[in-house]
Amino acid sequence: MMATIEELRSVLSGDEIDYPGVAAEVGSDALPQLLELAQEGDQAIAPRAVYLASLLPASGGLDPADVVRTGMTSGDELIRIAAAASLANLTDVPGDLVALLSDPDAGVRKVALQSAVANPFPGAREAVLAMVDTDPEPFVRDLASTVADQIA
Amino acid sequence: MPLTISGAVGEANAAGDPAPNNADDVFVVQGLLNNVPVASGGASPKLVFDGLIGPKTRAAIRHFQQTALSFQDGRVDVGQRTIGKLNELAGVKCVHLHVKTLQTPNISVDTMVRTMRRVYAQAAVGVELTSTENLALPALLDVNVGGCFAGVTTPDQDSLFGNQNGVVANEQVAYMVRTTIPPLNGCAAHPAARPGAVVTQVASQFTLAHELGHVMGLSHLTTEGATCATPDRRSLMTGCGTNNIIGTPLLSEAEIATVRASSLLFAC
Repeated sequence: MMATIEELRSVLSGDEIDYPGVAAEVGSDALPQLLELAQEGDQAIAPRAVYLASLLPASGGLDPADVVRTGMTSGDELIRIAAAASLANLTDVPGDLVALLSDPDAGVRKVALQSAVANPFPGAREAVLAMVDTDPEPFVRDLASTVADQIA
Repeated sequence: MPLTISGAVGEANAAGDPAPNNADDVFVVQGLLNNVPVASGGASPKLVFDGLIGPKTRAAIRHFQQTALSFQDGRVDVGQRTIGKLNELAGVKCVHLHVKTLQTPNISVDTMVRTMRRVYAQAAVGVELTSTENLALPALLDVNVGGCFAGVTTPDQDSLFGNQNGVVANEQVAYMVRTTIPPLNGCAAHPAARPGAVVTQVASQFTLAHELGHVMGLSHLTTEGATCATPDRRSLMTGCGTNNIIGTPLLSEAEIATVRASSLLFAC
């Protein structure tokens, strides 16, 4: 169904959101509005718009990866964390999104590592192997070591 | 004293000093009056839970005093017999809450707890903040909660809820984190025998009350539509965002009964 941006904003305001259910309801017609919400950069809504978009198929020239990319370049780590989480959902992960594994925020890197296990994407293994030795955060190095064993 | 007031509610005293009638105190008195059995002087019909000292609330105070205390001055004073008797006859119970903070939320913990107290006063349930603790756990700052399904937890949640310093059986723990994966305001899924919830940095002032409502057995409203076409902005258990709530959110009679029946409440 076609959802207005205000309807999307309302449903994304929920304290707990059934993302798969909402994705099934709104469909890929919502991608332009979700891109707009991601670009608005609201700390509460933009992460959710990014994540929801990643659950949708591409439509009309707009790819959910475009919305995730908008999240990846945000100055707000909450939005970048959502982008990192979204890597687990994308059917095709463009090469530039691997940069989330080298984000300045350790939480973003952690979530990107978890996504790499769930959805091994091109370039992930090489980046993860490098993180095992070079990541500045001990818990991220430990996680990278575990992840490296799990992804081919 | 489980449900207390900070200032008098109701009429002026004999010296003519008006009661402050602060909203939070009026909420407490209204909640208590609504939970005292009618035969013991409780309000009938129940008062609208609005924090306003109108004629119905004033009359209900007098009626209660006359029935339960054989006097009436229309005033509930701090620490005096009316508030004591209200607590006794309303059967007040208490949540024992521990707050463990990994990330300071945008809305302060104090505000969230104060708001939770106001909301649950309508169920004659107090909230005792039993302990607060700061946790330096960078690996759990952002918690994977999976689908946030009741009874199903992720390794992140299991690790987080393993932090139970000072917590005894049936006490509830709120973990203040930076974010969840996927991004939510909070998630009430918890390991067995470790009741509690995760609350994120962007939570509303009502998210804590909402999530612990889930922990105590409450579900989202079923009347709002899958895409929130008809959101209920007056109810605590709205599924359309507690940050959209107008005024002090309400609990239905059935929700109050569910909360009061929870095994996670203590004698205050």
